[in-house]
Amino acid sequence: MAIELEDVWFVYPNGVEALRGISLTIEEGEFVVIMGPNGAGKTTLVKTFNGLIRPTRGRVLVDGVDTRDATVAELSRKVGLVFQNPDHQLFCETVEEEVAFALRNFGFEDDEIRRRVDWALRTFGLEGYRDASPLALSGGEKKRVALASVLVWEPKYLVLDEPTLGQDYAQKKRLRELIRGLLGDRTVIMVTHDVEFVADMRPRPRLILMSGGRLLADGRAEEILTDPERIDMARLVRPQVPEVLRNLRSLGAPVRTDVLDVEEARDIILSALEVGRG
Amino acid sequence: MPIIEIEGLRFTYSGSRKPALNGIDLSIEKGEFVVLTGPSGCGKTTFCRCLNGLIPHFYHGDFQGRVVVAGLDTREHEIWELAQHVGLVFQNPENQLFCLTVEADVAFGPENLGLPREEIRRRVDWALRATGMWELRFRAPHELSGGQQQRAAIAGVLAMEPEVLVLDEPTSFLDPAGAAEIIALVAKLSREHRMTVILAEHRLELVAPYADRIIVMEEGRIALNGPPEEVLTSGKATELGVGIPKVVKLHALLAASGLRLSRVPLSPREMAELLAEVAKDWR
Amino acid sequence: MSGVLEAFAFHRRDSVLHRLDPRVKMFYAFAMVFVAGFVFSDVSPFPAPPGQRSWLLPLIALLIVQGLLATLGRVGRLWARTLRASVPLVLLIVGLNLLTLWWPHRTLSTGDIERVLVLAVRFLVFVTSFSIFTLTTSPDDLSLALEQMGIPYWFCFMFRAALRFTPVMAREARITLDAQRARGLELDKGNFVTRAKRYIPVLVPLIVNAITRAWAMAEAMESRAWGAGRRTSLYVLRMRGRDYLALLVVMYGVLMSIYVRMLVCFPLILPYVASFFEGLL
Repeated sequence: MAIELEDVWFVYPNGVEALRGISLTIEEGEFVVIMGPNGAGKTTLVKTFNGLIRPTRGRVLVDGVDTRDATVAELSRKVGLVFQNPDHQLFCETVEEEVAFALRNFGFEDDEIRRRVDWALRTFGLEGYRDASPLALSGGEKKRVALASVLVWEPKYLVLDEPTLGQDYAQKKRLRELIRGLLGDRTVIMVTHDVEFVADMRPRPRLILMSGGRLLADGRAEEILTDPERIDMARLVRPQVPEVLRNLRSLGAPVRTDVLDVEEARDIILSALEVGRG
Repeated sequence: MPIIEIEGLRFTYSGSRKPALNGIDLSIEKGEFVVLTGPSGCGKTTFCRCLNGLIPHFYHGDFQGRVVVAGLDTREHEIWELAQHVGLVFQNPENQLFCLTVEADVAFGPENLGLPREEIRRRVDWALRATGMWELRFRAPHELSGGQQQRAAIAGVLAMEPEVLVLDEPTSFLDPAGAAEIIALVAKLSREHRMTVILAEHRLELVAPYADRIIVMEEGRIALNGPPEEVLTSGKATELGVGIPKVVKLHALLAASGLRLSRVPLSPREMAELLAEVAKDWR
Repeated sequence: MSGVLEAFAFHRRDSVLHRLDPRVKMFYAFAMVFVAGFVFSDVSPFPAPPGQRSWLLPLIALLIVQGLLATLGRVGRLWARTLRASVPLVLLIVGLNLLTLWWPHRTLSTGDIERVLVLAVRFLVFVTSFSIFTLTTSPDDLSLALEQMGIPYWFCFMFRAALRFTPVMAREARITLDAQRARGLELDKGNFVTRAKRYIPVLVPLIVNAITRAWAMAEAMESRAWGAGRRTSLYVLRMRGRDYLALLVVMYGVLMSIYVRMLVCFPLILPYVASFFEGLL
C-alpha cells in the first residue's frame, strides 16, 4: 500500500510547469518531509495525492487507485491534507461543528461522529473550547482545530502543509511530539522549510528536496541536511550544527561534518580538542 | 536622551479582562538594534502597537503609564504625527500594499502628509533604492514574491523618514530566502542609516548576530533584557521556551564540559573561530 | 464569467490611445453614448427630416468606427472579445423584444425586426465604447483621473484597493475551495438549494478574511499617516497637445453626427439586405 507517482507532470493553464517529471513512492507507514523554496511545487505535489490536482502527464496511484478514477472526496478519506492557513477553512459556529464537518461530509453515523469528535477534542486539548467560535481563537489554537478536524476521520496518509508557520519554539516542540505520536498508526508527510525543526525531529524522516518542480534529493535527513550544496540549491537556511563543524574543518580541525545533533557535535569537538592538545 | 522611553506601561484591550501589557519600563537609545521575543501571546504585537500610537488611538482600552518616542508622548499626538518618527511594518506584506504599483504605494505615506511633489519624489526614490526595489517599482504587488512585497512595505514606511523602525514578525509569512532578504535589509538600515530598530522575531538564530539587545517578554511583562550573550545563556530563557540558537546551546554544553570560550558565539562562523582560538595547536 | 471581466481589463500596450489622457477617453465614451442614444435615435432633442426610417445604418457605422479605433489602439482582438462576450446579453435583448413585437398579431414586419436590431447594435456601441476606454487606460490613471476630476480621495482609494485585491481574493477563494473539498465537501451534488448551502463553507472564510484584511489595511494606512490632512499627489495628469486635439476630434464628430441627423434620411436597410440575398439565391 503506497502513494505512487509515475513521471508526473503538471502544467497550470497559464503555462507554468509546476511539476516536471516527478517519480516517487511513499510506502505506508513512512515519515516523509518535503522541503524547498516557495514556488518549488511542494504544495502542488501534495495536492496530487488527494486528487485536487490531476497530473497533465503521468499518473498518481493511491493504494493502487489512479487519482483520475476517483473523486477528491473519495481520495480524501485516505489522504488527509491539512492546509497551511486555518483562516482559509474555519467557518463553523462552534469548534465541535468544525471538527465534525468532514465526518458529516463522509456520511458517518451520528453516534460515531460524537465519539470521534470527543476523541479529537481530547487529543488536541480542545475540550474547553467545544462551544467556542473557531474564528475567535488564537493562531495556535486555530491550527490545533484545523489538525483535529482532519485527524478526526483518521486518514491513512496525513499530509501537513507548513505546520510550523507562525509558531513559537514551545509550540514547535509540542508539534514534534504530536507528530511522533501520530507516526505509529499512519503515514505522515510534512511540507516545510524550517530546517532546524526537521533537524530536531525524531525519528529522523526521509527528506525530499524540491526545486523548480523537480526532485533535487531524496534520502535520509541526516545526509541531506548536512550537505551544504544541496541545502543551498533548495534555498534553505543551513542548519547551524553541521555549519559549525564545517567551519571548524576549514580551519584545520579533523572533525566529521555529517552531524545534526548538538550533543554529538559537542562530543566530536571535545575529542578533536583532546587530540589537538595532545 | 533615549529615543524611546516607557514608564509603567499597562494596557488592557477594551472588552478584555486580562491586561495585554502588565507593567513595562524600558528605555532605548538611538541607533540600537533591539530584538523582541517571547512565547506566543506574550504581548509583542501589543507592545509594537504602543510605539507608534495605534495604541491608544486605533485600539481603545485601558491605557496607563507613558510612552515617549522622539520626545512625543503617544497619548498627546495623533498617529499621523508619530508615524513620521516611528515606522511600523506588519507581519503580512500583502495587506500593507494597497496601490497598483510599488512606486505608488511607497508614495502613499508622503502623499498623506501633503508634501510637495519634488519632496515626495525624492523620498520615494531614496526609499526604493535603499530597499533594492528600484528595478521593481512599476510592478503590481501580486506580481512580487513574499520577500519583495515585504521590502516594498518597508520602503513605504521608510518614505516617512522615521528615526525608528519597528517590525512585528516581518518574516512570518516568508520562506527562508525571503526571510534572509528582509533581515539583511534591516541590518543594513541599522548600520548604514543609523536607524533604531525594534524587531519582534521568533527565529533568534537569524537575528541574534545583529542584535545589540534582546528583550524577552512574558505575559505582558519584560522577563529578560540585555545583550544577546547574557539573555540567550540565561536559564530563564530556556525556561520561557525561547528558541535558543543551536550555537548557543552548543556553547553551553561545551562550557559544562569545561571548555570555556572567550565569548558567546552567535553564528556558526563565530563559534568556529572561537574554537580555533582555544585549540591553537590542532593545525 | 471571467471572460466578461477580462474583456474590460487593461492591457499595457504602446499605442496612440494608450498615451491619451484618460479623461479624454472617458469623454469619448460618454460622447459615443450620447451620439448612439440621443442623436441616432428617436429619443432626441434635435429634429429629424421626414422620411427618416431607420437608425441601423448610422449605428452600424458607429460600431465600425469603434472597431477602427480599437485597431488604432492595438487592442483590436480584445475589443472583438468584448463584442463576443456581449453576445448572450444581446441575444436576450433581441429575443425578448422580438417576442413582444410578435405576440399581439403573431406576425413580424421587416420594420419590426430592423427596430430590434437597432436596439441590439446601440447596446453594442455603448458597451464597446466603454471597453475601448477601459482597455487602453490603466486603473492607476483611471483613479488618478477620477481624483483630479474632484471625486473624493477616499472613493478613488477604495476603487484602487478593490482592483488591487481582486486577484488576491480570487486566489484565496481557490485555496478555500480546495481546503473544504479536502474535507469531503462535494459541490457538484444535489439540487439547487442544497448546492447553494454547500457554498457556505467557502463563503464564510472568504468574507471573514476580507474583513480581517480590511482591518489590517486600516492599521497599515494609519501607520503611514492616513488622515493627516490635505493630501498631495506624486502623479499628476496633464492634458497635452494631442489630448486637446483628440478632444476636438471627438467634439467635431459629435457635431457632425447631429448635423447628419438633421439632414439625412436613413432608410430601412433590411429590405435591401433581403433582396441582395434573394438575388444571390
